[in-house]
Amino acid sequence: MGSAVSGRPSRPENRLNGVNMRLFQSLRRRLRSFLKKDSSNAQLSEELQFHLERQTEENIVHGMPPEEARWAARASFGNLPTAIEECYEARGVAWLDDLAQDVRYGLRTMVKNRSFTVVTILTLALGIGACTAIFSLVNAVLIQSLPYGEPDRLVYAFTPNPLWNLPAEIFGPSNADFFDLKKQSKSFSATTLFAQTTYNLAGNGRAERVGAAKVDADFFGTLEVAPELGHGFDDRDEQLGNDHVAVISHALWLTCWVGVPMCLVAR
Amino acid sequence: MRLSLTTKSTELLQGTVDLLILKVLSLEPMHGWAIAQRINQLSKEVLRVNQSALYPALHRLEHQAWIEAEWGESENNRRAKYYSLTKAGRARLEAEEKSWDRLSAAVRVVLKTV
Repeated sequence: MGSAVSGRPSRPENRLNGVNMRLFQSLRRRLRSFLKKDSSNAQLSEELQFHLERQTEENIVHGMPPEEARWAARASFGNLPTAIEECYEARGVAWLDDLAQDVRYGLRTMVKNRSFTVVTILTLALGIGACTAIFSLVNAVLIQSLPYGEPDRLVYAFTPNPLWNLPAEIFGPSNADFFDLKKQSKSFSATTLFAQTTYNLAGNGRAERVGAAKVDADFFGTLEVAPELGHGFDDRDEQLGNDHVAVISHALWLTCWVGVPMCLVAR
Repeated sequence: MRLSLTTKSTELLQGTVDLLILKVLSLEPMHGWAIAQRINQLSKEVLRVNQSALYPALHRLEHQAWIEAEWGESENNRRAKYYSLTKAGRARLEAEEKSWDRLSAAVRVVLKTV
């Protein structure tokens, strides 16, 4: 019996409408019971009351004294509280009610145990914060690919120095070693050199310390990126006396030059 | 023998109560007490729908929109909740009757052969 879901033998084009209509009615009915809970409960109680009175009358008609008739009606009904409970569950919104009750109970308990609540919220906040921070790092380093052309072909060369008790990747090849490598190695289609450093950036009455990297002319070509404005470095920039050139980051451009393109020709 | 139908026992019996309610209501709108009486009468007093099972079933069917309810005046001049079949409920009854026929025929075949 439970296997038959719906049966509307004629007019298949109306079938969907019929089913939708029923779902709509069903939803409306459930919503009304939920929103007008008191009225629904009162109606249920009136309905059951009517049943008991009707049965009592019937018993009296069959010759029972009124008191006995009432008692018999009540007895024949079966378990009244269970019936009320099951009618309530039959409305199909009992879970919503239970949820609201649980939430209210939770809030009351939290207000009562202030210190516990504070500790719990702090623990959650720190936990969520830590997870977010770790994820940002993992996302940037491991998940997102590097914002360069063919990031899977980029390698980072380092020269470990066992004399120093430091992580191997701290030491890169010296400049002389690098230029030898560049000349003799056939394994790389392009190589570039960079050394991280910091500079003082002064002007317009203020000075700032900025992170920077000293690079060679092949830097942008190797990474397969180009500056947003202007141009990267070329061989002329490596000549002695011509080497006072810089490419600034977008962030620095915005903070120190307020994003004005003209600044790029200013000294 | 008298059979008492409750929703507690099995899914089969719950479906049976639903089917009987739908069938009885296909005749005319009725209140809960009359539905129980009618089922009892029609089954020649063999089937007795337990009242604590009848009302949950009515409310379930109403909330599933197979039947709808309206308050009206009863035969003894009191306010009573009258249930009637919806259009969808009528189609449901037809399908349930067919599936009941199939089921009972199949059970009978098994009982006769084995």
